This record gives sequence, C-alpha cells and structure tokens, in this order.
Amino acid sequence: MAQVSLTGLAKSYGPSAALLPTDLQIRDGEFFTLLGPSGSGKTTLLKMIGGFVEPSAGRIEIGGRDVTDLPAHRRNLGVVFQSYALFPHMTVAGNVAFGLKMRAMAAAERDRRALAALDLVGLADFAGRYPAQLSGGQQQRVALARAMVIEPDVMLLDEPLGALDLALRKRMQRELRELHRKLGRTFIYVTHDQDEALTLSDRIAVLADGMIRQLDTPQALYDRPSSAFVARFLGDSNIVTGTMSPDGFRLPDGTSAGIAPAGAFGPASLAIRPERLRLAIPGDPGVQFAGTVSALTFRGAFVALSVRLTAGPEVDATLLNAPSGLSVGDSVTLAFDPADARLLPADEAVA
Amino acid sequence: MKGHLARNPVLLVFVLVVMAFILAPLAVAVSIGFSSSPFLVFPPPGVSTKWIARFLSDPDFMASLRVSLALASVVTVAGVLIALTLAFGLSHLDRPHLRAALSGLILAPLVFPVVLLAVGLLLLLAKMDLLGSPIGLVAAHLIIVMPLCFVTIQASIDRLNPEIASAAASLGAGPIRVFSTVTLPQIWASVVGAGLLSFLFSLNDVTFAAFLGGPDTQTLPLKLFGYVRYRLDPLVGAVSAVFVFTTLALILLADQLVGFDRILGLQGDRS
Amino acid sequence: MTGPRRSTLAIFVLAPGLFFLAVFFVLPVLMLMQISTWTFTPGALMRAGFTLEHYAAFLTDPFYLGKLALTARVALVTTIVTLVLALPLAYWLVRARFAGKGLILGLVLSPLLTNFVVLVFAWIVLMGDNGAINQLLRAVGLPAAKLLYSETGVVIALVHISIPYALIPLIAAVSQVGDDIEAAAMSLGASPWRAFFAVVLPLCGAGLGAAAFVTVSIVLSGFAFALFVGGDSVLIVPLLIWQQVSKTLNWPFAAAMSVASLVIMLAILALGMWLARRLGQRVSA
Repeated sequence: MAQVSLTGLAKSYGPSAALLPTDLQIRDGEFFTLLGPSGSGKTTLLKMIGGFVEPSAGRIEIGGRDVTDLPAHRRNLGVVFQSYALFPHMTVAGNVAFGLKMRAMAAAERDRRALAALDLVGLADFAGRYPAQLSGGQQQRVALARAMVIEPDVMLLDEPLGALDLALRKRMQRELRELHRKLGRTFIYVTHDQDEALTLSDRIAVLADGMIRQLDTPQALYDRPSSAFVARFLGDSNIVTGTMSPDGFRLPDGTSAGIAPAGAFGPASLAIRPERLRLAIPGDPGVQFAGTVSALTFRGAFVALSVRLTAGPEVDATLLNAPSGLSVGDSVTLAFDPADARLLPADEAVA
Repeated sequence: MKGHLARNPVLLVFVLVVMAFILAPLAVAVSIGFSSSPFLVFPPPGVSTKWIARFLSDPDFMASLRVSLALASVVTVAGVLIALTLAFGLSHLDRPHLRAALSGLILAPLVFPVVLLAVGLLLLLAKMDLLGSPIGLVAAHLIIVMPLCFVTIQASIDRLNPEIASAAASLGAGPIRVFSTVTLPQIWASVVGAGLLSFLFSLNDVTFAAFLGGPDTQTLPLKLFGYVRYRLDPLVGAVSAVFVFTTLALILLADQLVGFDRILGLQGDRS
Repeated sequence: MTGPRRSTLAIFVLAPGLFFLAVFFVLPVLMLMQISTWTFTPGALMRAGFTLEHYAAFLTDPFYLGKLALTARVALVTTIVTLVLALPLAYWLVRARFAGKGLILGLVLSPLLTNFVVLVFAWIVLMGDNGAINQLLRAVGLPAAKLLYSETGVVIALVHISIPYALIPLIAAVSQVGDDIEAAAMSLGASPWRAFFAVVLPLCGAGLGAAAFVTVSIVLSGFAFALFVGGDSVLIVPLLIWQQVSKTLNWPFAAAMSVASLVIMLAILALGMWLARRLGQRVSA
C-alpha cells in the first residue's frame, strides 16, 4: 500500500508561511494533483514529501511508514523535476540506470530494466544519446523513465509539462494518463494549469496562499466550487454579488434570481458558468434576465458574449449556437436553470 | 534539505580548516603589527600601537605611501574609463566573431603569468626609455586593471534588460546618449566596485614595481619588499596591518556595491 | 542605429583601449620572443644578434633541466593540493545558505588582493624553525618540520595564494551544476557524498581545468615566495628569471626562459583542455 498521509505539515521561511499546517490523505494508486497559482504552496508541499525541503512542523507517512526524518535518498520515491534535471554527462541509458546503480543492481540487469523503461516511453532507440541531443519532450520522457524504473512507491511530478508547447503538452498528458493506468502507482502531480489538472486527475487539491481551499474530484470541483477562488480558478465563472433575503437571492437592483433562500441572510454571491447561460427562448422555464450585449467575440466553436444586465452586473455567456446577426448593443434576454447556480459563502462575496 | 552535503559536518569542518588556512597568515601579520615587543616574536607578548605609530611617522614610508596612493588613483581612473569605452565599443560591435576574439584579447593579460608579463614590459619600457618611470608603472598596472574593470563592468551590463536601451533608442537617443543616460546609471555600482578592486590591485602590486620600478617609483609594497630582505621586525607587521585593514575595508565596500557573489555566479543570498 | 555605422562607431570607441593593449601587452610578448634570441653582452642590456644559445642552455643544461623538473613538480603538487582544498570550499560557498555570503567571499578572496610581502612575512614568522607552526608541533609532541627554505614551505605558500584564484572558476562551475541535479541524484538513491562524486564533480571538469591553469600560472609567477620562503634552495623558474633580470642582468636569457615556460604552460593547457573535454564534454548543451 502506498498511500501518502500528511498530518499538520507546515513550512515557514522566517516570518512568512509557505504552507500552513495541512492534513492530507492521498489514496494508494490515485492520480492526485496539487493545483494552484504560484506561491500557493503546492511545490513546497511536494518538495517536503520528496524530502527536499525540511518541514517546519508536521508528519509525513508513506505506505504507513513515517518518513518525516528520512533523508531524500532513502525515501524510494520517483521524482520528475520541472527542469528534468537529467545528468548531462551520462547517456540516456546511463541516466535511467542511475537509480538502479544506487541500488547495487548488477550491470546486465540494470541495462535490461533501463531499456525496458525507455521502451515504455518510446525512447528505446535513444539509449546511447546524451540529454543535450534530445528535444524537450524527449528529455521529459527520459526523466519519467528514470523515475519509474526504480519502481518507487510514489511518483512525484513537479510541473513536468510546463516547458512544452501546447500540442506536445496535450499529447504528454494523454501519455501520462496511460502510464498511470498501466503502472497503477500513486502519482502526486503539481501544476498551475487547471485544464491539465482536470484532464489528468482522480482528485485535485486546490491551493492558495499556503492552504488547501478545496479537495475533490474534478467534476465535483467544477460543478460545486466552495468559494469564488475555486470557481474562478477552475474554468471561467460569473460571480454575481447581491443579497440573500428571506425571499431568495436578490440582485443589486432588487430583482429576484429565482434562487430559494438558503444560508445566512445578507451579502452573498452567486456563481454561474458562462456555458450555463443561454439566450432565452419563448416559454423558457429558466430564470431570465434582460440586458444589452456589451461585447461579442467569435471564437470558432462558440461565441463569447458579454451582457450588461439591466439589473446591474455584467456577465459572460458562452453560446454554442449563436444566432447570426447578433451584435453589440442588441437587447437580449439570458436564461439559466437555478440548479446551475452555486451559492458562495458570504465571506467570499467579492466581485 | 535534510542530509544535504552543504550541512554535512565533515564538509563543514574541512571548509572551516581551509578558511582558517586562508586567513591565518593575514591574521598573523596583523597581530604582529600590534605587538608590544621590540623584536619579532610570535605570538606577540602584548598589544601596542607603537609600531603603527612608527610606521606612520617614518618619512620614507610615508613618502612611498604617497607614491602608491597617487599611482593607484591614476591607474584606477584611467582603467575605469578605458574599460568603459571597451564595454561600450564591444556591445555595439555587430560582428559576433570579432567580438568574441576581442573579448579574449582584452582578458588575455589576466591569465598570463604576471612575471612573464613583467619581463616583457621590462624589455619594452627599456626600449622606450621609460624604465623606472612612473608612466611605465602606470602602463603596467593598467594592463591588469583594464581587463579587471572590463570583466566587472561587462558582467553588470550583461545582466541589464536590453529592452530598456532599445526603448531609449526608439525614443530618439543615439548610442552614446543611450550609454550615458540609460546604461551608465544602471551600472554605476559595478563601475565604482571595479574602481575599488583596481585601486586595491595597484596599491598592493609588488611584481611590476619590483621588475619595472626605479627611484621615482618607490611604492609602499616595494619599499616593504626591500625592507623585508634585510630586516624582520614588527614594523613589517604594522605596515601589513594597515594594508590588510585597507584591503578588507575596500573589499567590504566593493561587495556592498557590486555583490561579489553575483559576479562570481553565486545564487545570491542577498536581497 | 544598426549595421555598418554602428560597427564603425564601435571600432572608433574601441581604438584607444585596443591600441593600449597592443602596445603594452602584445608588443611585450612579441619582444620577449624577439629578444630571447639576442646575444648576451655583459654591460649592454640588449644588443641585437641572433642566437639560440639561451634556449639551448635552458633546455639542455642539466642544472636548468633540474630546475624545470623542480618547477614542474612544484606546479603539479601545488595544483593537486589547491584543487582538493578549493573544490569543497567552492561547493560549500555555492550551496550553503547563510547570510553574509558576500562578506565571507570577500574574506576568503582577500589574499588575492593583499600584497604578497604581507603573506611572505607571515610565512617567515609561521614556518621558521622556531616559528608558530613548529611551536605548535612541539607542543603536541610531534617532530619539528623544516618548512622554511624547503620545497614544502614554498608549496604551502603557493597553495595558499592559489586557493582564492582557483575559487573563482570553481564557484562558477559548481553554480552551473543546478541544485535540482543533485536533488535528482539523491531522489534516485544516491547519498549526498555519492551524489557529489558521481554527478557534481564530473560536471565541474571545465572549472577544474581553469582552476588548474590559473594555479600553474601563479606558480610560474611565484618568484617572491620562492625567494623568501624557499631561500636559494628552491629555484623555480620564475625565481631564475628574477635573478637574471635583477642580478645578472642577462635579459635575453630571462626572455628565453619566459618564452620557454610560456610555451610549456600552453602545452599543458592544451593537454588539460583535452582532458577536461573528455571529462566534461557532455556538459555543454
């Protein structure tokens, strides 16, 4: 069993806290992502698990074993660094076999396994080359092979796809997912790219300012963000501020949003995904708001619409089938299903 | 990071021993300068400033100190100015091969064994009838100081954002204007730092003075050199103390301005 | 302004500095080569006349060959000891985290900028038969060591002045080997020492080469250390050159020795670069 358990793990550099005391349980074999903007503490957390940063407080357990005081070279983790960190003076095969050499494996067995690992990432032909002769994507795969070949309990990946261009990144994401499925090991992945996180992960922890804001499956995080931050970080979101009154959510000008009263009364926010807004059709059962088109952008597969509601706020809508002839200044009516709107905690009620 | 080599006790002890080895002779020389004994004894029996006083009141030594200071000042100013022209010139040369070759030429004197350089200059200056003259010694010092300043200033220029100069140019400033109003203000600290290092070098030089000097160029280190050949007493320690303190003070100043660690390529621990 | 006009301005500005270099650097080197072939006429410092006798003497006379061998030996030992002492220090300076690094660096580099008379004086005090070192040895019960006027003493003094010079390229070299490469080695199971020897050291090949070169350069300039610390017994080549220049006034011979040492040093440099390339060739991207 290679589950990872963090208890009260924290890191401060002098007076500033990089990571506030955090508890986390990562399940055996899952693809777990730490998602957040830079400075959120996600990399610090990963580095502490890897043993590259000493925690200021807390405990780390891997597979039930307390590794908090164990130095990095005894934790048996497979680490893929952001810069790949390949050894320039060794061949690709030499790089991949390095971990096996540290484990005093016989040369023949070492070479066999290294080649097998390279084969797994499709680079068997490159065994004799040097890292400098490889492209970014190829180096990244060597780094993967090098980490995997030692059959670690857990794989740690620190924004490994950051330096690749979009097309290559998308392909590598698919390959990573495949790899994870094949190996069945626990993957702990760090990224700031929400798209990547949604694509790859079984569960995601969204971090900001040294703290986990929400931890859940990609679907749950997207559909039920618990804060404006998470709502905005994962996909786009309209955040509409207003007031929760005894007869439901009211927009600034008093119009009702058709949301039943819930939670505390007073200032509140509503989050609605742009793709959940539509142009009202006659007899539309959803909540409707009138407004004027303030901006309109053709984006290929969809049209991005910005509408200034007569009730006050400006919202964005993503329309898959926009009527032609729609232009800035037109009066439109937007509709949405109340179930698609998320009430956000009052203290997040910041536009 | 736990267990990192940089915190390994064996390494730490080793490093401390090496650093002690590096600083020991300086400490010894300085401590003798404050010795209360009339004879050269180590460790010194007591502390006294009499040898320093004797040094400061000796007319010959003071005269040579004046020579050294004058020489160092001239060399520093000239070295910095020439290095600036070289840095400006090279950065505006649009031919990369030529630029690399000239860079190598400018830096060559720094890797040349100093004694061999001194002998060559000896021959040249004799031919030019400048042997023993202050001009000759200034030229000799400059041949080291110029590359030294160039390296320091160039490193600073390399760290600049090139787009700032481009912005100035796009607003109508010619190359010289750009250099004087945009580049220089940004690198002034390294210029001053380079000047300090050059001053120190010239002040402390013995080799060139010994090979090329004459009665008009009795610098303080040269005088000390002559003195040590015939007499060993705490006076040498006193002069050493003055030298070491001056050197350390100027190094500190230069570090504040230039940042030794960054010049040498260290990831700074400075804010 | 780009293109030809820019380059013209550049060359115009470069002219004074380059002219100075040409006159006071290139010309002296050329004169060294020229005058090394002139005859030595006692009384007249330099008189033209082609002869290769100086080279012949330097390279065939058993006395001078012996001194060349001595110089080579001193250079080799000095270089090895310097590298062994300087590399760990360079590593620590680069990797350790502490405030005041600039200050420590300044301290460690200060011998570089201090005139060597101060250092020579200190060594005389430390290395004498009744000097501080021997006092210490006797206090601990060890036999006294003859350091002053010995090759060992000269090597110690040369190592001391070489370490700061060697630190400069070594620090640059270690800095270039990123933190994460060491971390990667350790993540794969290498203990910190193993990571250093298996990964950091090989990648410092070029830096070690540069440090070695600088050290040899210093040995070839170390006439004062040989003179004061070694007395007349450690006649390394720079001291021989000094003697010819200041005492015998046989300048052509001094020039010949200079040129010969330069050539030998360049040959060693070429060899060293070749070796460094073998060791660190896979470093450059």
